[in-house]
Amino acid sequence: MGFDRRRLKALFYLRGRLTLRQFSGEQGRIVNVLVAVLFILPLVLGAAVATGIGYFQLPDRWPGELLGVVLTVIWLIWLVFPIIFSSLNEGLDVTRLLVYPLPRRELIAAILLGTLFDYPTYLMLPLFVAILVGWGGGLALPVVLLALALSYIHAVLIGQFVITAVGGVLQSRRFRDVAIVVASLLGVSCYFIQMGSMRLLENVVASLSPEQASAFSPLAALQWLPTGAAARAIERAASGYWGESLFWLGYSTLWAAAITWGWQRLLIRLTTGEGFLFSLPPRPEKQKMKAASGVNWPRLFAWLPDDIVQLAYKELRSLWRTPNRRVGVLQMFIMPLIMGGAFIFSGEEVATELPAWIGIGLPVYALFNFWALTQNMLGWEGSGLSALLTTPVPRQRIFLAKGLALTAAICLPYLAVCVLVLFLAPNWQSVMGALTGLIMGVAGMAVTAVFSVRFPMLIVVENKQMGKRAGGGCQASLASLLLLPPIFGLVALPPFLPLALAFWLNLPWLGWVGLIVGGVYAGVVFWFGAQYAGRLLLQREAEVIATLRQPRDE
Amino acid sequence: MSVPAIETVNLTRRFDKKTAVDQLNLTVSPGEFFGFLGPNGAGKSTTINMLVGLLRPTSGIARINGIDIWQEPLAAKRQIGVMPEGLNLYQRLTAREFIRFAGTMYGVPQQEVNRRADELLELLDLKGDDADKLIIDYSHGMRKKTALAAALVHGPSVLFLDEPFEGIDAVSGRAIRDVLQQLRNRGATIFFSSHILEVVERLCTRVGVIANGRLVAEGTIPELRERAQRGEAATLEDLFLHAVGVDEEGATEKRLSWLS
Repeated sequence: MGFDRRRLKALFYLRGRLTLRQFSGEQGRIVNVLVAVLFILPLVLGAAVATGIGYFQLPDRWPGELLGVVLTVIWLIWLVFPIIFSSLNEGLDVTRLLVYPLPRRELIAAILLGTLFDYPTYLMLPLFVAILVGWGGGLALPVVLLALALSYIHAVLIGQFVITAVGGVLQSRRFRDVAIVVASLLGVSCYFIQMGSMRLLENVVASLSPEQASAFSPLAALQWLPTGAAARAIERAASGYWGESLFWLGYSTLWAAAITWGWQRLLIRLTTGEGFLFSLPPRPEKQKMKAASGVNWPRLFAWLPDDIVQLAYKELRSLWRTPNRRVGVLQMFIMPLIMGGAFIFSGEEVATELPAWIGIGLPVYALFNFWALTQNMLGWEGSGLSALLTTPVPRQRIFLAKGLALTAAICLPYLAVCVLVLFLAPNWQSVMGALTGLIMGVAGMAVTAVFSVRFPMLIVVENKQMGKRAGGGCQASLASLLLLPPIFGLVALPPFLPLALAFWLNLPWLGWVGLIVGGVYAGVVFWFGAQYAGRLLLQREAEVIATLRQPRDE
Repeated sequence: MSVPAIETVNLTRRFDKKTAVDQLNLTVSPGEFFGFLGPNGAGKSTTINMLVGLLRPTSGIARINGIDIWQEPLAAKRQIGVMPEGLNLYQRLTAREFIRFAGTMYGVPQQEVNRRADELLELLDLKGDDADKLIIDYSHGMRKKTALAAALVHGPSVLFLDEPFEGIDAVSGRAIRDVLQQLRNRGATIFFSSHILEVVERLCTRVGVIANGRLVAEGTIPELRERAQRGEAATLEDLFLHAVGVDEEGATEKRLSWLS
């Protein structure tokens, strides 16, 4: 049962090349990885140091319990990780290799070797080093090394097993759409989740009686899982129970053999054309898009030109149907929850302690939403932009329609928050703050419209990976980072001044007058902004299309 | 003399050091079905993109019905329908939504655009559930038909099609051919690039051959035969290979040593 070393080498190199080439031509991804590593590495190092100290400092049986939790968590992360990031690297996709006459053992070996190119693999190392330092002293060292090797194999094995089992689901557009939204929202809600989990843990621990606490042993349950067994083997070896240690090592090895066998069966299914074990069934007919056949709600806007209504309608649909855009909309809902969550979990008496002037802060929330949702308007058109620009539609109408649609989309979460604020602080400042926020946002859109033409940035709208792939020249990146925010703020500021003055001098009438003047100002500024952006687009259409050309990955 | 439907004067496009289209002079009369041929990378798509206002020429002029598309883009774009190589569809719209959207952008009244969309969907066999599925879930052929329907919905006087028959099955190909024939009978000008010479031979009234960015042959198929001094038996493939300078005899000599 030999391996063809040349073939194995070729597969290994293929994986290496694909890993490296995902960065070539898209240097932005290097930044993404660096940011992720910079974010995660300190966490992992911190966890390694903390667990390392725990192995030495915790009393009685708790170092062993901790070891069991660490190895099981690593295994669970690897179980979930491939589901979320399966499209990170083409090399993970076994189905692409099935056209070649590869023996399954080589396929399995190549896939396992290929995991060396997954950078998260190396994030396990600090935790393994901590285990080695904490438990590797003395005669237990060979057992620790063996158990760690087993744990590593278990981690990568379970990842591949999951991919092969549910590959059909992972490859479906519906799963991808949902996963993009869930993964992004999870990222945003990290703080919220962390605070909630801490609270829950505190409550659970506080509710345990001393007897329950002393009998609490996670390892007693975790030892039956593949890496929990490895942890138990280490713990037993450290206590000098070599027989038990060998038993648990054997048990863990049996798990590895069983998963490998199961994985091989799944690969056989794939190679014989039976497909994945799990794949999403076709969507029932009734759930398919009913779309435009009967719906004609644009009639509500019959007073507007047809093309503006259609453009706005398309924008709203795309806003909801494109996962990466939907994330933006959902984030607008989640933002106030997170901000509110910070209050709630800080233990403050929120409802009764809100200052009367809280409504004055509403424009900040409105401006953030307008800024986030309306920047790079043309970039979000995706491959449809060329189709749109081959039509003779007056270009300023594109921006007027987008402004209309995006304002409507922002209004939904914004008004919900405004109602909440009004409920908590029912006064003229809240009403005026709410309206001023909207007005300021509309004025600011004039700036984002012009910037979207002057500094367009590529967004791969139908990106199959989690998160957004974005590109664009250095000039465009700098402009969106350094120029856009101050100009956006500056243009949006005038309607806020009468509100601030009215609050300062306690003259509500001044606020109302300011609101009317501000409304006219915002309307005029946005109108002229759209006209200018339209003229600019007409002059720069070829350049904008060249910058925003989508890669052919359909 | 009538104004040409399509006219280019010394149309040139350079990408860095490479000249993709070099001093292209081309005239297509109203009502013509013009086939634009060339090997891969010859400059066909670059030319079409310059003609429809998607790619700015380095120099030269491109006119549609006498209107310079780079001087008066909106006026020129009112005359044309485009099915570009990359199709450029809004993938999160359904075919029905996309066709209606395109029609509205060209100023077709709402009721009319709905009626035309339904007819086009029926004609191109995208009726029923298919019409209301997202384009992202479509097969290649369905996408092509959707793009064609969107290019036709306003009844353009000049239609640009970049590789309309590439990668589609015989049934879809037949549907597209029939629609194009109908459009031509109505007097529209059709400018299309294709690798499928058999289709070009059957449909086109005149062809142009581009190689290395230069127009190397132009005329009706009998004219090309005459110029190439080939007999009646010469197919368009023979004429094409001759025009792009591929020596057929030489080609057969180039054999793979390990296959003999």
